[in-house]
Amino acid sequence: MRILVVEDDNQTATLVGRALLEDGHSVDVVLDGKEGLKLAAVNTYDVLVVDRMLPGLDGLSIVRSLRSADVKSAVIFLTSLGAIEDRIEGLEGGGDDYLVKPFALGELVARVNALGRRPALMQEDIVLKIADLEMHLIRREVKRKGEVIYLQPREFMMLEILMRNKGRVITRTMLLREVWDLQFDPKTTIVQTNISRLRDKIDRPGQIPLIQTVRGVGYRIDEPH
Amino acid sequence: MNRTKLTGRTAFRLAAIFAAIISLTNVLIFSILYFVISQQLSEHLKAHVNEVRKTLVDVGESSGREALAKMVSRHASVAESDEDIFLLTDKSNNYIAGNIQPIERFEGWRTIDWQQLPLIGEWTSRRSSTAVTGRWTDAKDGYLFVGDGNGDINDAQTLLLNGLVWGIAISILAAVTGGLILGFNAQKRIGAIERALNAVASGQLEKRVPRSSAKDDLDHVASLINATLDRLQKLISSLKQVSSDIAHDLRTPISRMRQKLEIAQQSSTDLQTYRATVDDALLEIDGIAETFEALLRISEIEAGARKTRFVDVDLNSLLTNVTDALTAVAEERGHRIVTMIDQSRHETTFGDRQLLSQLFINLIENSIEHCPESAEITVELRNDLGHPAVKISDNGPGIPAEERERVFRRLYRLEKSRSTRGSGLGLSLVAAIAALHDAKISLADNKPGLITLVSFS
Repeated sequence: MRILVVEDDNQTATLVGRALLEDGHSVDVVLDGKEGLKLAAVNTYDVLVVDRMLPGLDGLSIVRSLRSADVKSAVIFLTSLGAIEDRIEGLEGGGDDYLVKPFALGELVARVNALGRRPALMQEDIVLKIADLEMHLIRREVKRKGEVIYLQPREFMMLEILMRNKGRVITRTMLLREVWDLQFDPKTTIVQTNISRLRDKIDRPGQIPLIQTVRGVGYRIDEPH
Repeated sequence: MNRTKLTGRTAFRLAAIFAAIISLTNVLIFSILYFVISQQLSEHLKAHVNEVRKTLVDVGESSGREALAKMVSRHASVAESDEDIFLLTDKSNNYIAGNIQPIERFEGWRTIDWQQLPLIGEWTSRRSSTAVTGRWTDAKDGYLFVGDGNGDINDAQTLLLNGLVWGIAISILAAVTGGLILGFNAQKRIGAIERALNAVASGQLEKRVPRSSAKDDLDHVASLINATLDRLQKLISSLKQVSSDIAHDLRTPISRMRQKLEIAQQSSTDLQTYRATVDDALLEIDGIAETFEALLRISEIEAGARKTRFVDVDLNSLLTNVTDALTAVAEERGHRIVTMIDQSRHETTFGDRQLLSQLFINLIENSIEHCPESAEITVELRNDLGHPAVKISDNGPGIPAEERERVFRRLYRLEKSRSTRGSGLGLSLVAAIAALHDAKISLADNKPGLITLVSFS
């Protein structure tokens, strides 16, 4: 994907740029709001990573101008303003997602990937397949090696999200939001525990494990290599 | 602070306005009285002259000129005190009887200046007349002039003018006194408001405007100011609390992390130790970010802005979702979550779904974390006298009665749970969310264990 990072802190900008580059994207980085607006308007980016507080032209104004000029690139705000009002303001101003500082680079990369794939490409699929794991979306049925696996509704949702995003990391925060509609981090290991239960059912002993843990970030399901 | 000018002060302005209005009213009333009474008296005077004239003419007709002259002389001799003027002349305007020398004849009524009257004799006992109003009549081969002084009118007018002056003087006095009393009263209360606000401005945030027993507009303003000050004090104390919490709870992990990194930098030799230190540091940083987030969240909730986004929240589905999310975690620790939610009966409350989820997750997580193995955690949705209530009970160690009040304070943790993970802000957050929703939280003994009851209103 083609990604533009607009972030005035030089080090953050470099780190974010490098992380996205390593994930296989083509990345432009600018430190200045006006420059960012110019680039975003001229080039077609899939995703814009925009800091809310920039000197000169702030992030929200950039995105508002782009949206009024009908620029459709997905936008993720980086913000140190964590209050709900600021988040809502950002989303209403044309942002698609927000990430509050301090954040993990892995989280940012995962969110950027999730945004870039909108709308979901596999929407029409009825059956999702990874190796010998099959998910029938209409019959709500999961099979491995042809053997039916019984999943709780939430386990099914988690697996569906992972399978739809084959090969991509899904973070704990994303799962909390999508599966349980929880927009905060609980103290206990809700996601970890539920994933480990799911894993017990999917990856039986002797089978090749499909659900991988990405340390400190989240989970991924992929074809075994 | 600037003192306003004397004339700008409420008391003086009020007094001046009162005085002006009352004086004006007085002048108006007296003017009307003056006009009406003067008119009346002047009519009365003419009627009196006519009556005397008629009597004299009648005497002349019936008893002849001699009798008339005698009568006129008699009248004239006692006329001084009444200031009546009589004059009887013959056809050639020669004096026959009366108290003035012949004067020019004229038709109808005329008013003659007293100074111009050719008076006969000494008019020592004369009163205040300045003019005489009278007319000529034909009387028995001659002419008769009868006039009356305007003394009565003058007296009445003087009396009225005196009344006016006194009236104005007294009413101005009353107005000024009343105005000053009212005004000074208001001034005193405004002064009290001023002093309270100045005190607050200079940092005494607990100062309030004194209330008066009078339920008037000033008292209403005072109550509004006090409500605003309450809010201000709350916001500022919350701000202070956040800063001191940040200082208190973030410095410790930051310095801990610093020390660990220092040691790694100085004495670690292998990659393994470095890795372990980095992992440790990342964990610390996540913990710091979590605490920071929780502190900001609490202050955001306490500021109350989220109330504008309240909607009707279905507690059945919310609790089902929450217990669903935590069941696996509880089971992993060997606990059991029992739900008592009647799905045929829906309880709703006006609130923020995310915050309420967090409230219940925090409470249930607390039970999960503080209960030893194989506890039973019951989540019950009920209706207490028409209001929804959620009862969360466990059979763990509970909280000693004397500590129950304190657990909702910020950063408070039971001494024995110091070692477990968590910011110590979980229950403060619960308290803040409950307060935002006007919900009451009470802790009780489950013998053994803890009962937490969240009652909505």
